Amino acid sequence: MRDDRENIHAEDLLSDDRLLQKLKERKPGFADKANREELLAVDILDVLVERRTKITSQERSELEARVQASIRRQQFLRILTWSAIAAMFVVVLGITWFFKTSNSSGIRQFAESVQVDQITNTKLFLTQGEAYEIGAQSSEITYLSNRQEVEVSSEGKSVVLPNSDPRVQQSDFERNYNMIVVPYGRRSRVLLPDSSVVWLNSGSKLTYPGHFEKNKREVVLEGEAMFEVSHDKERPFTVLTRDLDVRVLGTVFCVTAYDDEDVASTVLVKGAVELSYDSAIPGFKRKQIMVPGTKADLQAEDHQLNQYEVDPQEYTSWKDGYLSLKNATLESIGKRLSRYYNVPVKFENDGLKSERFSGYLDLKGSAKEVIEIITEITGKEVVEDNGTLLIREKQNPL
Amino acid sequence: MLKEGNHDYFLWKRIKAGNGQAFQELYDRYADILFSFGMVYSRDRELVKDCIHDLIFDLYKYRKNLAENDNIRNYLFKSLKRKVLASAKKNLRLVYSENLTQETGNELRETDADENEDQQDQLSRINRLIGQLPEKQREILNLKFQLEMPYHEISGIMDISVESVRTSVYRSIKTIREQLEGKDMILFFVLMKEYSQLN
Repeated sequence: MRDDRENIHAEDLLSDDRLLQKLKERKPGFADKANREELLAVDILDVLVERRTKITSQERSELEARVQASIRRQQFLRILTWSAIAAMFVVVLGITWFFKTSNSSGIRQFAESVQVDQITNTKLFLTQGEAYEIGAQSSEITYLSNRQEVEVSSEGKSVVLPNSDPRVQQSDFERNYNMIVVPYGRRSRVLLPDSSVVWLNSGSKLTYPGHFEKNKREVVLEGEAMFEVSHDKERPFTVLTRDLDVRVLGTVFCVTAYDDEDVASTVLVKGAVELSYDSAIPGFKRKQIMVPGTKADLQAEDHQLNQYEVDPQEYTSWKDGYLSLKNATLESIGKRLSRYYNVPVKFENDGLKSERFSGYLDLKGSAKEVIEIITEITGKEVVEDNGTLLIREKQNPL
Repeated sequence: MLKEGNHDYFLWKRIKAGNGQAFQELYDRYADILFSFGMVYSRDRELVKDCIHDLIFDLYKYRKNLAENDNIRNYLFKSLKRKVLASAKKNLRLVYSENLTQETGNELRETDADENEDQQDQLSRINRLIGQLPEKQREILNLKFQLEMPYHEISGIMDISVESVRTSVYRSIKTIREQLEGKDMILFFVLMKEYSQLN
């Protein structure tokens, strides 16, 4: 036993955790019983433990304060960085907003000054003078080639109105805009100063400069219009609507953008147009090119634009006084006729709305006459009810 | 130990989440041992404090990039060691000086009233012998006895096996013991040699 202890050296005592623990827990008076190796091990252990350098409590709290200060400064910097990023974002938004509005805000603002549903007669706002009212159902407005006068024709009569002299610079920019507002039940055809032709359907409003700028032609549309744009490569023609911008170089197309409808649509007859609309990210635009014979529907709410093939005739025939319908629902026909004639069209029940109809509808007759053509074919009937046209199942005369 | 590890695991999670309280807790738990640990690699108190500051601050700055880690201790020690060695090298501040450690050892011993002179001599001899050990061996001894680190922890910090750490401790102590025991013999041999040369 004693021999075993003699053979155990300091290195054995110190490198074995169990033996080391015993040395560490030694009690007073240990030195009296201990052998040489144990005493040596304790000495080595003591020296090593003494070598430990401890942080003073003052150093400890100073360092703590330093670390805290650094973290706080970093937090502050981070907030500052985020604010800087946010500020830049606002600037970027501001710039796009500025460009967007600087391009078209004046004309858009002017377009807002008159509401379509507040008027009963077609109204023409020129650069000079009061608004000119047109009582007739359909009218033709022609910007004369002398660029100073506008001719308004309706029901075989015509009148020439003075417009501004293009050589006179207008200081009040706003007054440079012209506007034609066509209430429900009315239609108008406008020959613009650049000799583009616009057929305005019922309940529509077109705003345009009295003289187009040198590098662009911008008009604002609310409602439905068919455009036959004169070709001018230098001055692209853009139709601005609330949700959709249609950019053209020279083409025939129809834009439907009634404010009370969620869908803004464009039908391209010929040529090419570029559609531009808000993406889901505020301030950023998305663009799509259209080819002839297609219709593009923009769901403004979810920023979705869908294109599909159509017969353009169906959508543009109203300008020639008839409707070309292919498998259209009675609901959509009712909507279009009610706008065209400014008469509310109602259905006895929802089931009737989804029935479909194909064919040509001549729009020369009254609203009731036109609807009767449909009801006769589909086995329904239409009755006048307090100024409203009601479509219902045929009542048995018995 | 398991409880401690668990605690550290959750502390780490809170640090990663940027919880300010967690950094305070980390400092409270580790400031003392990190300082002593840092002083194993440098004798410059200010440098070690700077490194501890940087270590915790970096932890805050880059907390999002921190790996899932259930061993904070190991992470802290290894990072601090790297920082201390790097800045000591960069700043050429203070190289590990044995004179300083000797002084420290002596100073502390001198205050002990009960100590006789022989014992004093013995301790300073041991201290000097530790200073003469190869760097790696000295580092291991310091971690093992100064900081009372278990073998597996030293093995983790130094990236060597637990067995190598144990062997190194064993060899270092053996060297010290043999040199202490053999000091008279060596003196005798030296004298013999000189004597024979004279003849």
